[in-house]
Amino acid sequence: MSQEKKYGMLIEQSRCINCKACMIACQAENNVPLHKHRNWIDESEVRGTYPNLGIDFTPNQCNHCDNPHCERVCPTGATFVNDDGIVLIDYNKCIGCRFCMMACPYDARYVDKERGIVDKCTYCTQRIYQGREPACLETCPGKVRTFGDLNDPKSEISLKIATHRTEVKYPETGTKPRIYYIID
Amino acid sequence: MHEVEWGMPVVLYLYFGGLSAGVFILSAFLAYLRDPKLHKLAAFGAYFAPFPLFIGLFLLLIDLDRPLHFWRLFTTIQWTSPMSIGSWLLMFFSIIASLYAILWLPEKYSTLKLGKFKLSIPKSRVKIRGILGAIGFPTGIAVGIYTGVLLGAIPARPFWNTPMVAMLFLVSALSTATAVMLFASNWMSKNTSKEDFHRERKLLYSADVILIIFEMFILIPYILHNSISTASQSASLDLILGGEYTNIFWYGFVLIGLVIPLILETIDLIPEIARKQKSSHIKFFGYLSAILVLVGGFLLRYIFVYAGQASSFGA
Repeated sequence: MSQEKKYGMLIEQSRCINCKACMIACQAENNVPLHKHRNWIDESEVRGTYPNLGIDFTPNQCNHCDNPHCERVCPTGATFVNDDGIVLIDYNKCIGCRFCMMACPYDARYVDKERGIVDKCTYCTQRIYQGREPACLETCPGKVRTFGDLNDPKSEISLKIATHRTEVKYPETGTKPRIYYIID
Repeated sequence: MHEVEWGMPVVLYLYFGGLSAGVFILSAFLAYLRDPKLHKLAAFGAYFAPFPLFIGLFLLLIDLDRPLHFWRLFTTIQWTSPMSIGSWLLMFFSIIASLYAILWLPEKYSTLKLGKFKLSIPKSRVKIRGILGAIGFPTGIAVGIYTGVLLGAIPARPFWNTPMVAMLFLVSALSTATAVMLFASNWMSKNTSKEDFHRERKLLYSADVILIIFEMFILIPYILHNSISTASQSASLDLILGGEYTNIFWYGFVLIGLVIPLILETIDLIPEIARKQKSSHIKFFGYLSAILVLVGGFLLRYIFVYAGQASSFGA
């Protein structure tokens, strides 16, 4: 039985060293305007007292939700969920009302002033449809991210999710996010 | 949220949209009462109603990042998007409100000319505007509710995400509309007989007192429920309970916009409540409470639009 693909991402945040190479790779790959980002890294406060210290780095981006609120509230139908589960924007239809930015609990969207539209992560469709990895993944020195088809039980991402404890961000908002974080 | 994406144009649009809807509702209701004493006020409401909305829609248009693409809103209906439903609703309402205003023009205007374009107003204008008023009344309520649903129907912003916001915005819209009517009643009072003025005043003051009390008792459960709700909901409430918007909320909206006008209007109504002689209706207090209610209504939108964007799950 052939099944449709559903792309997702797994993030092993303990491997992240906050070098921000993913942010720069993404900006260069996707022509992201200066000072805007499709992915970013949250830094937690430092825990504990010297010498017993800890800090978390959490890479973030669009979660390509199964039930995306940005898609639900879009008044022109510009935001849509592709057959392979990727949440995309039809740039011709976007009028720049920014309602999607209000609706996204992850704050994953930004305004592209020059084009007069709202934009966000696309999982680098221009690369993955040619069999390459998303730019953030390729450049990452710590191999923090795993990208692949969640519907294929033999894919690397499915195997990792099956063998690790994972969580998603803000599931209580009902978005059914598709970026998994390994709990460690 | 990192940046404020919805700024003053959206605040003013929500404010003016609600104001238009409210004034239309009041005018339609006053006309329905068929009280000749209230005819002038109903006519004023009919003329006034379309204009704030037009200003608001213009502001909203220029706030888009691609204003010239606004027509795309009207090539589709997205049933799950409050903004899509709202756009159609506002278009429908602006047409009704405009026709309604034209039908209220005095008898001597039987045709309107604009260059080659001619519009004859039918003789049965009173009947038609009655029907338009009846259609526009629920449409106006829907517009008033919509301005709050737009913000409320988003789980990502805990400060907005309660049905109370829609109710608060609707009642506040009606209250600000009453204030506009009150202002107009004062303004036009030179040509109003004492009897008529008293009737207008009593009705408007009573309506506004009721509406303000409603607003207070929507605010109280809003604060109570949110403060004992989930962590993100109660954290969002910090914005007005000690956070950035505390002073403007309590001193601006609650005190200046609700409590003081409520006291002023109640004082004026005391002789009526006590069934004594008719009130003296100090005009200055009329103007003052009208302006305070209008300022309060604006502050309410301002606080909600800005504070809502500052609330999130990440905090």
